[in-house]
Amino acid sequence: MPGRLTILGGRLRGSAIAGAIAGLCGAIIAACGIGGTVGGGSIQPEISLRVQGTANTPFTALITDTVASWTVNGVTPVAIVILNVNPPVRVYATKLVGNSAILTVQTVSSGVYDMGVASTDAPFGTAVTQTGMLDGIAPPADPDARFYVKGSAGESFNGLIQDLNIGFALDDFVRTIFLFEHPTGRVDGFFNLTSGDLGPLDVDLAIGGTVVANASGAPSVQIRAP
Amino acid sequence: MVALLVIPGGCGGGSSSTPTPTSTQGRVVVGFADSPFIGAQQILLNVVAVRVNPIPGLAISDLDPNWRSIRAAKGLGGLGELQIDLNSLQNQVQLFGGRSLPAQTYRQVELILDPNTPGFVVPNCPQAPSVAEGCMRYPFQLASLSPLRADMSLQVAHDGLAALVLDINPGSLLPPLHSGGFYILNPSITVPVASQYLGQVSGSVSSAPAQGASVRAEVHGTGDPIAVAPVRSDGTYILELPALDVGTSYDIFARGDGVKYSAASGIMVARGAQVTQNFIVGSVTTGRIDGRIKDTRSGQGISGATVSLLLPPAGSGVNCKSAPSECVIVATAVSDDVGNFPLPGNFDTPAFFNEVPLETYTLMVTAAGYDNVIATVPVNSTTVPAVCGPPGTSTDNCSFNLTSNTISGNVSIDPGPEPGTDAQVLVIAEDTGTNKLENVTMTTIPGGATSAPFTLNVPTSVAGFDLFASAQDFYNGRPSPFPGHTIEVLSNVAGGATGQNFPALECAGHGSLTGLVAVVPDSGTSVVLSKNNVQLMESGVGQSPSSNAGQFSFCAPPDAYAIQRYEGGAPASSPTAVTVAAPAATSSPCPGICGFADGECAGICNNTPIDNPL
Repeated sequence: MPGRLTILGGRLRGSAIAGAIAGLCGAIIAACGIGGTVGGGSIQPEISLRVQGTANTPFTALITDTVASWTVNGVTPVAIVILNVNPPVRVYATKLVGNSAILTVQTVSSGVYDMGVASTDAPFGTAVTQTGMLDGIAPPADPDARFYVKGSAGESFNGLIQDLNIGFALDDFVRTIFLFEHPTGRVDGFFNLTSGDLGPLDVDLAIGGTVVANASGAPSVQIRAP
Repeated sequence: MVALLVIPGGCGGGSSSTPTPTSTQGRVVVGFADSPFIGAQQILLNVVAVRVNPIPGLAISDLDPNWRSIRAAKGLGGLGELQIDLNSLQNQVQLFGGRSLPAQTYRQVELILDPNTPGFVVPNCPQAPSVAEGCMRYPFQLASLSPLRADMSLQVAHDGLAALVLDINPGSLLPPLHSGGFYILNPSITVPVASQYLGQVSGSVSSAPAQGASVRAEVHGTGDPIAVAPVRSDGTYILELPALDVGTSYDIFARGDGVKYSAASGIMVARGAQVTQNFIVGSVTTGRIDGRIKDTRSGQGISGATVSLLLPPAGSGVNCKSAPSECVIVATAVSDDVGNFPLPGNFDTPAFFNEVPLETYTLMVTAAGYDNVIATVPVNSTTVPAVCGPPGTSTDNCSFNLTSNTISGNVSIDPGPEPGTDAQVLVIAEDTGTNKLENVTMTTIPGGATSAPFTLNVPTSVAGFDLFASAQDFYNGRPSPFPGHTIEVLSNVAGGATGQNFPALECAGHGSLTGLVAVVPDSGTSVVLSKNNVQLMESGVGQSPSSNAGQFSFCAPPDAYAIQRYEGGAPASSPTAVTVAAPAATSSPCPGICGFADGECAGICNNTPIDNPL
C-alpha cells in the first residue's frame, strides 16, 4: 500500500547538534582513527527530500540548489539529504516504470515538512517540487561526493559526515543518500544504527560517479575516501 | 501536525456509556470511491487515516476512546499518507488499507486528511473570464473545520472480513481570487454498499503453516500488488478486491515461510460476486537469489532494475520463458545504486529473494530503456545462491548485462530562456503507434541558448519509436503540472538514430479541451489525444450513471491535435481534428507561463469544448 510520510524525522537542533558532532567526532577519532575537524556550534545547512510512495518504484531525479545540481537514480523509499546546501532546492523526480505506482516527493527544511510536496501516478510521470523560487538549474556538483546508506528500509541511524572543515550530525532512516555539496578535501563518515537489529548497514561512498569505498556492518560503520 | 498526534489509535478502551468491545477480532479493509466532479483534471486528497466508532451520533468527541484508526502505510520514519486522485476513482475503488478490529458493529466513520496540506486541485481552464489560471496545481483549504464523518452500520464478525468503501464527494470548488491562492473545498463522504465496487475471492490454503502464510492479489500480468490476506488458523482466506464494471482479472498466489508458492492466473472478479480459489502448498526449505544488473556498453551497474520471479499457474504447464505474460509474478526485487539485488527487506516489504522456496523458476529482468532478459533459475540449495541458466553471464549467481540502443538529437525552444535562467525539457520514447512508454530523459537548455542535445536509451528489440518533447514549465515561479509550450513530436524513429532534431517548442500558454463520447461508457472507454499520429495523452471517461457520464477532458497546450475514442485499448472512432484555443496575449500584469518574442506573454487560458461527441 503506497504511503507518504507526514511527521518529521527529527534532527538534532540548536546546541544539541554541536554536542553531538563533537561527541561523535571524538568517538570516531578515538575508536576509528578517522580524522577531520568539525565546524562551530551553529546549525549547518541541510535539506532533506523524501522520495517515496509505492515501494520499490524506480526513479531518476534532477536536484538543484543555487550552486550545484545532481542526478540521482534510485528506488522508493529513499531520503536524499543535501549537506552544506545553498537553498532553495528544486527537484524533478521521474518514474522509470510505466505503471500506476505512486511517486511522491516531499521537502523537509529544518526538520519540518513544508508545502513542497508533489506526487504522480502517471506512467513515467514527473513530480516537481521546490522550497523556494529558483532561476534555473545549477552546474553539476564538482566534486560530486555521495554516501549511499543502505540496509533494511526503515531502520534508523545517526552519525556524522565530515570533510576537513565541517561536520554534519545525522539522524535519518535507511535508505538515505547524502549529497555533500562542495566538500573540502577528503570526506568520511560514521553511521550507527539506532533501531533494532534488522540487519547490517551497507554504505557506498561515490566520488564523481564511481564508488571509491564500501563498508558494511552493525551496529556501526565507518567509511572514508581513500 | 498536532492534530495527527491526538487521533486515538487502535488501543482505546471502553467507557461506561459505550458498547463494550469484545475480545474477538475481525478484519476491516477500506477503499475509496468518488462522486465525480466536472471541471477538474485532478482533485488530490492527502489521506492520513480512516477511523470508525461503534457509537452513533456524528457529534461525538474527537477524543472518544472508542475510535479505531486505520492508517495509511508508514512512510520513511513515521506515519504515512496516501494521495488519492478523486478523478481516477470514478472507474474503480482504490484500496487504502486494513487492520484487525474488535468484532462489533461500527456506527460511524471519519475520513482524516493531512491538516497541513489536505490536498490539491488542478482545474481545467475556465469556461468564463477568470483571474485564476487553469491547468495549474492549487492547494486547497477545507470550507469547514467540521470532521468528515458519515453514519453507517458496519458489522465486523469474529475472524471475518468487512469491506468499507467511502464515497468521497468533493462538493463545491470555490476558485481562488488570484493564481497564487487556495481553492476552497466542501467535501463530504457517504458509505455505499461495498459490493457495488468490490468482489470477493476466498478459499483454502492446504498444508500451510498456521503462522505467516498469506494470499496475495495482483492485477493480471502486471505484478502490481493490490491486496494481501492472511491465511487464518483454519487454513482459509478472504480477499475483497476492487472490480471494474466489466470485471477485473487478477493473478492470485499463496506464499508463506517454508512453503512453496502456488499461483492462479486470470481470476475474473466481478462486483458483488464471490469466487472460490483454493491453493495446495507443500512444505519446503528455501534458498537465495542475488546478482548484479549492468549495462552491456558501459559496464556500469543499473540502479532501479526490476527482477521478477515468474511461476506458471498451478497445473497449467505454461512455459514462463516462452510465455511470460501467462505466468504470475510471485516476487520482485530491485537493484541498488551499483546494480546489486535484492535490497534488504523489512516487515512491510520483505526481501522475498532471500527466502525462495526450492524450485525451478523463470527470472525476468526489466529496466527502462533496456531489453528484457528472461532466464531459468533453479533454486536448489539452502546455502549457496542460485545460479541462473543462460543468458546469465556469471557462474556464481544471477548477474546479467542488459542491452540497449540510443537515440540522440536536439531539442529547442522558442524563445530561448533568458540568461541566468534555463528550461528543462523531457524527451519520452514510446513504441511507434502505441502509448507503451519505454524511457524518458531530461535535458537542460541553458539561458541564452535555444537548443540542447539529448540522448535516450531504448531497447533494441523494438523496431521504431515515437518521441515527444515536453517542457517542464513554471507559472509565476511555481511548478506547472502541464506545459505552457507546445509538445513537439518525431514519429517512427529507429533505435540507433542520431541527429533527431525536434521542431522548436513554442511558447503557447495553457489550454484545455472537454467533450463527450457518443456511447454509454464503461471502464474500458477512454479518449486518446495525438499530434501527428504520436499519442500524447489519454483521458478516462465519466461513468454512467453520474453527473459527468461520458465526459472527458485534457490539459494540453494550444495546438492542433487529433482525438479518438478507444474501447478496451483499441480504436473505436475515427480521429477527430481539434484545435485547442490559445489564450490572449497580455503584458500588464504578465501572469504567463512563458514569454513571447515581442515581450508579451500568454494570459489566462481558455477551455475548448468539443461540439460533436466521439
